[in-house]
Parts: sequence; structure tokens; C-alpha cells
Amino acid sequence: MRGGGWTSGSERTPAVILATRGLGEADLLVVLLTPGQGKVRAAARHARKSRRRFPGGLSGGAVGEATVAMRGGGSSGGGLARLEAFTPVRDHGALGRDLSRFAHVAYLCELTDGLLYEPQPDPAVFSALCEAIGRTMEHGADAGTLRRYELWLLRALGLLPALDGCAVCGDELAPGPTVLFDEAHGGALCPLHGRGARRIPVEVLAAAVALLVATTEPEVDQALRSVAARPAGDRRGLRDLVLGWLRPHLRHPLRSREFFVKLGPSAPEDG
Amino acid sequence: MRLALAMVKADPEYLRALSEAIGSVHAQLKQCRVCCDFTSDEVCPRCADARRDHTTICVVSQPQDRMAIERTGVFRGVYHVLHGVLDPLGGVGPGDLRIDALLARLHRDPSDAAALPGVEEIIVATSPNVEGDATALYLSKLIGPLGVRVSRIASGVAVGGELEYADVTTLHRALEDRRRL
Ligand SMILES: [Zn+2]
Ligand SMILES: [Zn+2]
Repeated sequence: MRGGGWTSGSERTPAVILATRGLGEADLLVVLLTPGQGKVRAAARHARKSRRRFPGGLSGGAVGEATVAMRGGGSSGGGLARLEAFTPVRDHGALGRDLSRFAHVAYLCELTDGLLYEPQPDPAVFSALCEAIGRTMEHGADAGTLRRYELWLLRALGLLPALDGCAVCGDELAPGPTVLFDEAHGGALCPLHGRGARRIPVEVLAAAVALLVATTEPEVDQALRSVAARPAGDRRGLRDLVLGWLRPHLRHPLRSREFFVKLGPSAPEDG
Repeated sequence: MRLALAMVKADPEYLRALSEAIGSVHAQLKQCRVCCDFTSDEVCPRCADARRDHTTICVVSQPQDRMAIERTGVFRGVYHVLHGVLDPLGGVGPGDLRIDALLARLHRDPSDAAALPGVEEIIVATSPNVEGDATALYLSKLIGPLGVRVSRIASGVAVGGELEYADVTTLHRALEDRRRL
């Protein structure tokens, strides 16, 4: 196997493990997100027993340093690369000690895997995912962190509806407690273009915008705190709105969302 | 491939016997009514063995892990096979594992004098990786309030590894060093 079909060198890169699947008796198929190559599917030989090359194991949500040998032609081939080593940079074992963190990080990974096509290098998406996983690990499972990442990903992929001006003419939105909104017409609408459109609470939309525009750590903290302080109905409204934007772009329903439901009373608030 | 080559060279009589044996194993294999391990009878030999300690149940995710622990020869209790671990990415939730059957084993009818002694301890021996740990945590939250001691095998097995591949010595120590959850 060594040599033929593989480029000579292997490359070390920061990576997040998005998913793993059994590949025969002892191997794993690993889906990685890297800043430079985008999503990479790689075979990890003997991964189920090699502690030397894969200390800490390979599980979804692990953030670390990967050594990857690309298939001939670099990332353009779309074939299976080879994962030679993976060393986590943080202890993701904490995920196994908190079911909410466990479920949230799985969701962040599955959403990324579901929305990104390979190869689609986007260092900004990589950092946003690392930020969302890092926050969940450090501060615990928080629905606001999920929403911020969902919105961020939608925007990075050019799939985010217009939120702060009319999607058709760009005019300012009419003041008031609700906003005219229609995804089929691009998002928020002015009274002229929004005739017959549904109305959504302006507060819910404002919360989404606040989550999106926050960039510095204190701004992000502030946006997350204000979402958490909103009534449960508003938080559900925001969740359903954003999930509605994501759904048409996902090839299949996300299993990690089913998992939220299956956890029953021990389920985390997914917003 | 090696197996296929060996079969090409083998005696046809032997091959027919082998294929019949594989077929009959498949037809006869069912899950033990008590522990959900694979067995050819209603109740597996371990659950049926009165000399084993029925007050201690070792919970594993798959039959291979039960076999690995059994090979150490140090565990004299009984087992329970979950047939999986919690796995959000695989969509495996608690309802997809044999957890109800495990809970049923903990509820003992006190008026039944012939019943086996009540379960005192559950040792969770899922693999020491994120999914295995999360499953152990879920079980401890569910079973702890029932007054049954829940412990977890120590990570003598390397973190991130899978139980099936651990060597006997490591497994032995892991069982000895189990801790309460
Ligand atoms: Zn307009
Ligand atoms: Zn049994």
C-alpha cells in the first residue's frame, strides 16, 4: 500500500474530528476538518488499538494535531487520505463525564459534516468550530453557543437569510414588535415586499444578529448571556427559526438531534 | 484473503462441514433472556450457573468484551451486554441499548423465596473512551438512586482504546482497580 497512489510526504495540520466509522476489524474511517484542506476523509489503520499513533483515541469533537497523507493530487481527488497520527491538544475525555457537553459537541461536528462539501477549505469555519467546541468544553453546554455557530456557518456558506434589511430592496425594516419574514424571498422584508409574509418577533431576530456580530470574547459573552436571559419561548423561537434555515441544506436529518430527544429527562437544553 | 486461500486448498468434505457449522450457528444464535449475551439457549451458561456470584453484574457493550473479561478468570459475577454505547453521531440513544433488561434484573420480588439474591453491585466495563464513559455516566445516574452500588472499571486500559483489544494483564488490573461512581 505504501507509496503507490499516495503523495510522498505527509503533512501535519491542526484538525477537528467530525466523525468516525468502523472500517473493517481494526481500522477507522475518520472525517476531519482542517483549516487548509477543508473536510478530509481519511483511513486510520489499526486505530482501534494503536495508542502510540492515536493517544487518547479518535472520537468526534477531538481537537488536535493530525498527520495526514493525502491521496495523489492533494485534496482535489476527493478520495480517501491516510491518517497517520492524531494527538489531541486538549483533554476531550471530559465529554464522557457530562452528557450535555457530549451531545452538544456531537451536534456541532455533525452539523459541520452535514453542511460542508469536501474539499472546501475555509480557515474561518475551522476557527468558529474550535471556538464553539472550546466554549462548550470550558463553560458547559449552552444553546446560545450552538445558535452562534449555526448562524456563523450559514453566513460562511452564503446561506444566511437577510436579517437587518429588506432582502429584496435593502430598505430599512418597518419599526414595530414584529418583522415580516419569508425565507423564499430571502429573509426579512419591508412592508412593500413583505405583503402576506409571516411575522416574527423583532427580539428573536435581534438576538440572532447579536450572536452573529459579536467578535471579541466580551462581546460573545454578552450576546450569549442576553440570549440565555430571554424567556424560554423566545429561545425556542430562535432555535426553530435557525433550524428551519439549516434544514433545506442538510442531506439527511441529524442523528445527534435525535439523540437529544432520546436522552429524555437528562437531555441538555438544545435551545 | 488468507482464509479464502486456505479454503481453496481445503478438502471439500471439510468445507461442507464448515459451512454447515457456520449456518447452524447463525440459525441458533439468540440473546440470553437475562443478560442479552449471544447464546444458543434461552439462558446462557453464565446466567444459568448457580456457582457464579449473581449479586455482581459486569456491564459490557458487546459480547467480545464479555469474552475478553471472562478470559482473565478473575471475575466470578455475571454479565450484562448492552449491544452498543451511547453515540450521538450514530444516533444511538439509551432506548437503543439493552438498558431496560438491565433495570429489570435489579427489581427483585422480595416475596419470591426461590429468587436469586438481589443485585448489590454493577460494574460498568464499557471501553474507556468518550462514548464508553458517557454510557457509564448515564447508567450511574439511572441506577445509583436504586440503592445499587455502581462502579466503573479503572482505566488500566489506555484512554481512547477499545476493550476488546486490551491484553489480559491490563484487563485484570482494570477489574481489580474498579472505582465507585
Ligand atoms: Zn423591500
Ligand atoms: Zn445470560
